[in-house]
Amino acid sequence: MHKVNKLYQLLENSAEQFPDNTALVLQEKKISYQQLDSLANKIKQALHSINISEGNRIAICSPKSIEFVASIFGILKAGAAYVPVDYNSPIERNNFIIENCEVAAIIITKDLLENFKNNFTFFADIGIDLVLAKSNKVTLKKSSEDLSYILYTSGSTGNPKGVIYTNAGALEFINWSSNTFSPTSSDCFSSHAPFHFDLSIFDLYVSIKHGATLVLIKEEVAKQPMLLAQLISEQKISIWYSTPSILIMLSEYGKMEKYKYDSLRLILFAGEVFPIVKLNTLKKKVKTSVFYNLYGPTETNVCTYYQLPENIETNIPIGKVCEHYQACVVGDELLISGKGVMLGYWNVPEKDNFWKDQENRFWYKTGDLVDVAESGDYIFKGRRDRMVKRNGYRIELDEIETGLSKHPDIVIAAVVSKNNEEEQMIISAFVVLRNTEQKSVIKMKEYCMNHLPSYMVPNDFIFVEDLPQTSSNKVDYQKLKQLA
Amino acid sequence: MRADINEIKETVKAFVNKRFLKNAEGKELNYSTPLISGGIIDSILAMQLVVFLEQTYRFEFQAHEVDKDNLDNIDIIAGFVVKKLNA
Repeated sequence: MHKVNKLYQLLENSAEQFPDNTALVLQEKKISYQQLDSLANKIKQALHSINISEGNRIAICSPKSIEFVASIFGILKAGAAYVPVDYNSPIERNNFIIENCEVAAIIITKDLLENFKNNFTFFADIGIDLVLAKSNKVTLKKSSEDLSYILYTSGSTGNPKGVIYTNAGALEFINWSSNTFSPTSSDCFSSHAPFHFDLSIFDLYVSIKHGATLVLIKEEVAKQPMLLAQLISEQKISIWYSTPSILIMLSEYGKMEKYKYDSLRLILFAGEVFPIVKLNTLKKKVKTSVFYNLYGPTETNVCTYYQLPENIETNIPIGKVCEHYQACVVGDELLISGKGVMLGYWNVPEKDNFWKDQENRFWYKTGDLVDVAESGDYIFKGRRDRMVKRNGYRIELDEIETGLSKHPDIVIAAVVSKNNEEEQMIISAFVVLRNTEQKSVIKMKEYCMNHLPSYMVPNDFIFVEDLPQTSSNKVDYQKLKQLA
Repeated sequence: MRADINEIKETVKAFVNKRFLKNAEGKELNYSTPLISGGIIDSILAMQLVVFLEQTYRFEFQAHEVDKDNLDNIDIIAGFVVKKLNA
């Protein structure tokens, strides 16, 4: 085993140690560690041939596939950072991301390349389904050569913001995961989250580090609970990781009683609160599994964790700080410090999200408000700002408002969120129209589907003549919440 | 169980209006309005619709049948229900 200080070395080590183990499975396709490593080398060479080098950023836009994973490792081997772009998101949002972080090239399926043809020139076929296209931009900013990936998340300015990770930062979390969950080469991991979400960091790198098998779950299967139940059972998944929303959907609609889940030893969830009643329903269906609540924003990845006891009746704590981090609470807000924290946001110079203590140590301000239980476990109380979680997706309500404000018939829009009696997050948009004859909930939803990621489409639209205002002439969100 | 296709369409329409379009005043939805691709129902709401259809018409969805191809508008849904009931 070679010492690892870059993410791609995790693959190279496993290719040496477990060459014939199955690295990836996607439906009927399989690829061994040795094959995956040589495919990644091929992609690295293609990148070198167009002068991609350390400090460049490369976008990937494709449905989940074996070639997608090979591209990630090819980019990392070339010393560049990858920027996964959601092929389901509106083109304008994706173009913003690509221009914002000045990618030098894109690896993409042929049919999707059409959407980006103003920015990229076709260069080469590299895998079975993917092509490499080079940026038309002549000068590109170089970044630190240790960058590994940039994950874009919803931004309060109305545009997405790129969370920058180094190899060293990512490895902090991966090594912590190894110590905490002790995976082995006979484990079988799920890859449920898309690669532009930070849950994918665990799936990809922890499985590959240990020579285990990673089962890639296609986007259309990922949202279909009956197919998921079948997949977990048939593929003998042993380590599952997803948001609670997916687990709730699986438990309520997956017809789980049709299958057995004897291999499933570990169920990890993160991204939002798991209502206790729903969790207990699921626990009865998978009695052999150990459950962990993992907590952390994309900016830190997992920073606290909590192993669920046999019986739990109260709200689930987010637990204690991970061993590679330090935590403190300032004015109810949870702050995190350690080498695993992101480097910063791409092209966002200000350090508002960090607090520097007297010893010049930087703390990331999570924006999450917490209590500390007698046991020392942290308990999530709510947010400091207007960020919400819906179905595990992180959403800045400002991004929805910005999207709506671009609608030609909308004078102004204000968006609020609240939990319904089922403890699901409901987003309501209050809309003032130029012409009230235009009012159509269906047309509003259709517009949002074309201009926002689908998880940001509001549940309800309420057409009003004016928005209520506070005494300081700002939108009165408290009042709107009562009306929603 | 037998059911008239137009009756099915009206039943599904009433359900979608009541459950997923509560501020649309029941006037907007028609049989060809795209439900999934139009952002009216997401994957969780689609499952609520599946359960409603299973309970109302007493048939079972196979795992692969829970798909946009069978659920994206009321015309398609009614056609699928009739096919299942005649199977």
